[in-house]
Amino acid sequence: MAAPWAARCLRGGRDGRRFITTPSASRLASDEIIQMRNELFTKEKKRQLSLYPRIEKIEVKYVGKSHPGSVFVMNKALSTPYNCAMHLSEWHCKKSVLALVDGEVWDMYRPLTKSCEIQFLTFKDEDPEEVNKAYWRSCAMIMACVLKRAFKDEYSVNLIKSPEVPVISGAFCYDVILDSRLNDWKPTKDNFRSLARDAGMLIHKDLPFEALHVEAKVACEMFQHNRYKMEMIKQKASQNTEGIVMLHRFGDFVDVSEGPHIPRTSFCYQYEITAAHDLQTNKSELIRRFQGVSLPIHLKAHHTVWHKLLERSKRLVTEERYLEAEDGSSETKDGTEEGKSVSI
Amino acid sequence: MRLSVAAAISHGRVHRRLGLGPRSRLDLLRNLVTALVRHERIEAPWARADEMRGYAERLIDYAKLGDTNEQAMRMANFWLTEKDLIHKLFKVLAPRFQPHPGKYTRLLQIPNRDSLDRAKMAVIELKGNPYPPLIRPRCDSEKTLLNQLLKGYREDIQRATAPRAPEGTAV
Amino acid sequence: MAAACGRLWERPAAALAGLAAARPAAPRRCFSFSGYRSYSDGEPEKFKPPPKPVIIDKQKQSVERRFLSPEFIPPRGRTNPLKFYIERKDMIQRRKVFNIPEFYVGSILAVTTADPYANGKASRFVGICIQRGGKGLGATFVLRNVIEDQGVEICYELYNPRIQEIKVLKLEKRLDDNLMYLRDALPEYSTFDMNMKPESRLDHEEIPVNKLQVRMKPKPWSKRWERPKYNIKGIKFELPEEKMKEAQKWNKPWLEFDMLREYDTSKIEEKIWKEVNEELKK
Repeated sequence: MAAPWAARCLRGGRDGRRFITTPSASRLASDEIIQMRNELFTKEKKRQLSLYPRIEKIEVKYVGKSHPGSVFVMNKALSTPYNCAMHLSEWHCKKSVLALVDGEVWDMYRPLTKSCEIQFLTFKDEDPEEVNKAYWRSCAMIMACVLKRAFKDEYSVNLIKSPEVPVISGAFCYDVILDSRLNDWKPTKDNFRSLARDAGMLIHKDLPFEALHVEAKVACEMFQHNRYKMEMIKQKASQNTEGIVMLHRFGDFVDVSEGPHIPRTSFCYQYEITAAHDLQTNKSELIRRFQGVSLPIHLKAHHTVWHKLLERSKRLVTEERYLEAEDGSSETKDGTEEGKSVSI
Repeated sequence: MRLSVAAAISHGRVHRRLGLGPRSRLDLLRNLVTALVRHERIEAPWARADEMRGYAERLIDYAKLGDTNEQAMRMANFWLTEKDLIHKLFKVLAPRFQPHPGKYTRLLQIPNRDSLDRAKMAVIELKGNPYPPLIRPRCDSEKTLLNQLLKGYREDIQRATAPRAPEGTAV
Repeated sequence: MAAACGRLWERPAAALAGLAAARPAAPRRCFSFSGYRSYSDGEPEKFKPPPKPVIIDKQKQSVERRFLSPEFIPPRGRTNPLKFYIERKDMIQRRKVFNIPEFYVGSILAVTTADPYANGKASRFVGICIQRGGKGLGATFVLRNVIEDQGVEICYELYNPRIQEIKVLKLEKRLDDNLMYLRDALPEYSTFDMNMKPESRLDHEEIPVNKLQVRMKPKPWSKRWERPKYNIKGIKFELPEEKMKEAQKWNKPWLEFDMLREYDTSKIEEKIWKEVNEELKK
């Protein structure tokens, strides 16, 4: 019964981004929040850049099969791994998803800070585990952006986090708390389609993912309206010694992230948001888990296969179930590495 | 030499004209077949290799009949100019290809000959030869994103069907 | 006169045809007789064994007498096999309503065709089959005879609906698959009596091969039969030695080693035979 009414409040596309003043003064409109975070992000980025007033040179050594013994002289805190790839070939620019800088996984658009050895990771590597995880993370972030924008301003959307599910589970997911008025709304097929269309527009825009490492204080300021994010930031900050939190931005959407992301949104090719499940938690609020599935432009699937994957991605994915299942399977099979990948 | 357009119309003749005439053509191919049986991998102009391919495969078909077969022996005697290869044909190649129904050779194009006439060149080899392979099959590893998704899908199906099977057997 | 002869023979021929039609059924009937007799002999106890050998015997016969008319086998080439498949269907349709007997080049046949201008609207011709040509629905055979010192050859289409009857008078093979050289042979070798009576032969017998070597008229011939291209075995050449030697100049000994010229029809034959047999049994 509530579905048609809720469908009306789902806005299709960007054209519907009109300003509607929120009735409650305490809560800011989602657009304003996004704007505020975006400005803070830009400010912080500028501040970090100003730490290096003079251009200093670093030596980056490429350790890959294609161009043995290449050494690049790059600008400190300015040049990114993508700039290194530009020196190699177009193939490297197009195919590289992540960089491996001194054994550490690095975003393609994150500036290099010291002399190092670099290597590029692609989807078709021998062991593309990190790349797959980054891709899943980015897809979830795109979905979060779409969900944040999809509703009218009078309905609050609280993004919680994106649980790290392995690729083998079949779908990426993002946990969201919608407005309490939407509690008995069940998204229909058309709703998902319009959401996927919004995501498609973002992908079509070819936005870069910018990475920024900030102190927990700045991050808290950015996410002061979202207590779930605040908890997450505190947890993150406590994990490492310097209290650094990793933030990512594409377009004007900023999110706290678990790890590196893919360089651009256009790396996604087939993208679909398929399901939303209600999570049974003891809290009073209804947590929904939105799920979707996507394939990068480098690994296209035939439409029959794609539709099978779509069907599969509609089931609820959880970390725990796959942890158990994978552990069981890894014992029976030789896939010890898969077991590892899940436990991370 | 081709004198008229009418002579170029094939009328169902599917073979190429090589050498100085039909006899010369077979002699030429005979030497190639002998070389192939000896070396198992040879380089030749593409047209000749392609033409020779059929004969080489038929010869192995004959060899599979066994060395007691008179017709097979006559064919081997004609097609192998170096007679020590007859033994190899019947004792090495025939057992090797016994389980296979056909297609014993592999023909691959290589860059054109640049010394003489820029002829289209090819490498022809008998399958199962001891040399390192010419082409390595390239496929994505099991761990790529798509393969992982498909693996999960397969496992789901197995899981869905596995509990059902024992029930069926029990009943 | 010939026509009159034909008419005279009309009735006996019909009678013979009746006999011939009855003949295939004859062995079965014969066996059933024997079974019946044994049954009547030992009435009190049921005598089962006899039917068993009958079945085995029949199967053996059918295995031995596997014959597929050569026009069923498609020629080698790039023609769409669908064409031959469709034609086979039509051929089987015709064979269901019209008995086309087994015959070979060298057999002596009597063919009755519808002819609007003949007496009785039918004409009968007896001759030796010198050639079978064509594949599929357009298959032909050529009959040759010498009538009143005049060689006559008639080319019949095997599936022509105007053919009313094909009867084998003498079933045999010759040394060659094409007897066109009979044109250049002495006329006695292709002269056959129009009133010839059919030879009786048992069903499971081997087809006899007539190893007759014909003598030729003096040269010139329509073709140089002594050349190795024709590979004629059924001619007794009475040419000088050097002529025969010269003919060998055209020999192409490498052709037999050209393996790609071989056309192995055994598998196709097996398949088509099965298909045709199943269709005919329906």
